[in-house]
Formats: sequence, C-alpha cells, structure tokens
Amino acid sequence: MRKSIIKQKKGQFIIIAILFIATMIISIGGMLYTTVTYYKYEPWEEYLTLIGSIELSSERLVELSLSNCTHTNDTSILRTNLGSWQRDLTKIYPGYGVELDLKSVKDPDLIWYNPISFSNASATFSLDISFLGLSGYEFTAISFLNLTIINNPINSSIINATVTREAGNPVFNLKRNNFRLQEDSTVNIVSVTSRYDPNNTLVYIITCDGVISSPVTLSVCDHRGIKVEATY
Amino acid sequence: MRVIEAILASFIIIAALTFVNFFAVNPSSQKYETTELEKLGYNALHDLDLQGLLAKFVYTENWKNLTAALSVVLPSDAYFNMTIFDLNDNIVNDPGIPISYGDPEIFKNSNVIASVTYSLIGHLNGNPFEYESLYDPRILSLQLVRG
Repeated sequence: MRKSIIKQKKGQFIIIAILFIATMIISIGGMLYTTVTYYKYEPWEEYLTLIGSIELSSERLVELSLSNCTHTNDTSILRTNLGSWQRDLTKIYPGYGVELDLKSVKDPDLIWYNPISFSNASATFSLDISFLGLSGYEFTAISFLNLTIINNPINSSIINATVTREAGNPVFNLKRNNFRLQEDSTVNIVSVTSRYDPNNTLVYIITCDGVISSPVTLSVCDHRGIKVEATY
Repeated sequence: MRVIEAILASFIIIAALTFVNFFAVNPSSQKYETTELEKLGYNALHDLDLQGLLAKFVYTENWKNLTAALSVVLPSDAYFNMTIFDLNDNIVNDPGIPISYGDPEIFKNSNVIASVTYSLIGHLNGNPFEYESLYDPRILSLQLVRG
C-alpha cells in the first residue's frame, strides 16, 4: 500500500516536472518569436551602413578642409564646407530625413615653426535620421598631423623627425617628395629613410647635401594633403 | 507502471514543441540575402575608399580600373552595376564604359537586388605641397545580385 502511494507520487512528480519543462519551452519559444520578428523588420545592417557612411564622409570632409587650409591659410574653409555638407546630405540620402547638426567646430589650428608643430581641426556632429527614428547620435571627426624634429640638426647634415596623426599613430610610407626644406635654405634634401625607434615608433631620417648652419624649417605633407612646418 | 506517465509526458513535450513551432517565424532568406549583399557592397566600397583607390578612380574618371578593383574585392558570384552621380543627379560615369560585371539580364530578372549608396566628399589634385583640395561630392549607387 505504502509502495503504491510512493510510486503514484513519483508518477505525479514526473508529470509536474514535464509540465514545468513544457512551460519553459513555450516561454523560450515566445521570447524567440519576439526576437526573430523584431529583428526581421529592423534592417540593422542597413542602418549601420548609412550611419557609418555619413560618419566616414564627415571625417573625410574635416581632413579635406584641413588640407585646404594648410595650403591656402583659409581658416574659414572648414565651416564653409561643413555648411555645404549639411545641405548636400539631404540630396545624397533623399527620403531618409537626414539632418546633421554641428555641436561644435574647432577651426583649423596651425601651430607651426616650433620643433613640435602640428595642424589640427575637428568638428562634433549630432545626427538625426527620422526614417530610422534615430535622434542625437553624436560623433567627432578629428584631423591631426604632427611633425617633431627630435635632434638638433645644426652643425649636422641629418634631421631626425617623427610624423604622427590622430591618436599618436605614426604616418608610414612618406617619401622624399613628402618633405621639403624652406626655400631659402642653404642645403637640400638628398634622401629620406626611416627606422623604428622604441620611444617614437617611427623616425624619419632626412639626409641633406651639406651641413646645416642656421635654424632650419622642415615641411611635411602627408598622403591626405595635410601640411605641417617645423623649425629647429 | 510508469508507462502511462511517460506517454503523457511525451504528449506534453510534443504538444509544447508543436505549439512553439506553430508560432516560430523564420526570417525570409530573401531579406537576409539582400542584407548580406548590402553589407558586402558597403564593405567593398569602404575598403577601396580606405586605400584611397575609390576617390582616385572616380575623380580621375578611370572607369576601367574602378570596375577591375570592384571585381577583385567582391566575390566572383556577386554581379554588380554601379552608377555615379553628381549632386544635380547627373550621371558622371561614361555610359559607353559600364562599371559592371555579370550578365545584365540577371539584374532585370532577379528578385533579390541589393542597393548601396556611398558618398565621396571631394578630392586632392596635384602633388605634395601643391595640392588643391576640392569639395565636390559624388554619389555612388552600387547594385548587387547573386550570379
């Protein structure tokens, strides 16, 4: 009699356990259903593509404007180009309701003719895309180039310099035609080589055809067209 | 003696699975295919842009090299057709040299055509120290289908 009751209880336990498992399966199924249907109607990749494209183009615009400024000294070019870009975005992505606001703009800043010289510009944007329900997506586009003369080149024919960009990353593959000495310099550049350095990562060695006897101004122009001039 | 319980349990499990399966919604493969192609197209354009090749070919109007570069970065079973516009919606690329790969009939007949819009801001002219930086946007419209 007791054994029969225990067996019946075990049987009930199995049924109850299975009911719990079934409830769990149905709950998980419900969650999966919500997830899958939500994902189905939201083309996230398309959104990311659109936002990424606008972000990259905005960064390129700041680069292009800084490049222009370093060659023409027109510091208003960034604001002019940004105004055009804000207007033209609606033509490039019609129907998306794209609106790009400028949160802040740092006009091109050319800190030149020092041993550590740089060109710098940045802009912070706020992006709204009404079609996606996106509002207030902020990003910053920074363009930066630094030229540092790390040795005293006077009474020497060699200038050691580092060239870095945003986040201190070295600029690679600069050749002889990317460097120039000021026009009234008594020496000319013969060759440009580079070596890796534990402190500065990449050092350019600019060899001249004579001994440098007076303060020298070295210019560099990178592949983005951004120029910096440093004096030692 | 627990055979009945086991059968009942099996019925409950089967019923639960059937119930869940009834509501399961599998995303259509067409939707994923389009998304995949869009991602592929965008990545290809982005890679070429980062290497500086995209702006170079577009602004120097080197359509043959642009076609070759796209053929290299896209898989061989992805057929493409690109049109380049200026801001006034004028087609910039030469219609005589189509920037395309694959059978044009597939673009007409395929149900799954992905479209990617990519923008270029402007370009540099000249050599280092004599660069001229111009703001001159171009709109690249890339259509992709599976061959």
